[in-house]
Amino acid sequence: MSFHEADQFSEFYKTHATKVRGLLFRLVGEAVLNDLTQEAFLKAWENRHRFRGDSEASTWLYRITYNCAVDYLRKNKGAIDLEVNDLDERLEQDISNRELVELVLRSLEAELRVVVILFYLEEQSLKDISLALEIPEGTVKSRLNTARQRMNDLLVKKGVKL
Amino acid sequence: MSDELKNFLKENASPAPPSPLGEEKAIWRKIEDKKRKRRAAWLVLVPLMTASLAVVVMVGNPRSVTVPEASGEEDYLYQEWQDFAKEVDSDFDQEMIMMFAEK
Repeated sequence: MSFHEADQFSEFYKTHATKVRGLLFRLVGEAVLNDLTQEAFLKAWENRHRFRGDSEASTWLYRITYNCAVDYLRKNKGAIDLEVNDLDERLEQDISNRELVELVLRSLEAELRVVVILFYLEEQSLKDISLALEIPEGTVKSRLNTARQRMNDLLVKKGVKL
Repeated sequence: MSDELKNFLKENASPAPPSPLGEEKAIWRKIEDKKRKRRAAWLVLVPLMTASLAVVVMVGNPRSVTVPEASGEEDYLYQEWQDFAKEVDSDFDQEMIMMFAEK
């Protein structure tokens, strides 16, 4: 990544904005999406000298983005978490597959949700996810298994068989 | 199952809303603002720190002014000497007067 000059910021933004916004949207929702996107890029710019190039720029940026999201969720406890009762109630209603996916993702804790988003939606490898989240690959796998199991249970409840 | 789950999630996940117009420029402005503020803070902080340091050095090492100080004993002796001299002078004057007056 050639991200050491101020005038390359624009290119950097254009390359990664979609990924950053995608991750943030699914982690924290739409209300604070723009604010947190700004914060993530600001932090990335301020810490650009720390990027050592031993991973992809997107992996490094995912880490910053995830940290921004986690900070926000910690400060605003339960900002988008679903209560079990709410979840059951929603599942009983007639909902579209899009709503179902949103519900399934929101039913997971942030640490599980981020693994699912990065693995399934952003198509990152286990190694890249482990680098981005600074956790061992084994932990990524176990979180993915837990998340998969829980998502599957919910989908089966709604009659979706995969 | 994993691929099917992936396909199901990908097909049905809501797309993230598009970036608001001018977001990139807004972020860049924030970056520049922050840089400017940091620079301004340094411009205030450096002279302030220098002045504080100077004050600390001055307070820490006060210049010693040597004022000759007479002790109480010296004062007393000086006073005694003055009195004695006055007495001697007046006696001497008295004797002289008497000696010339007799003549």
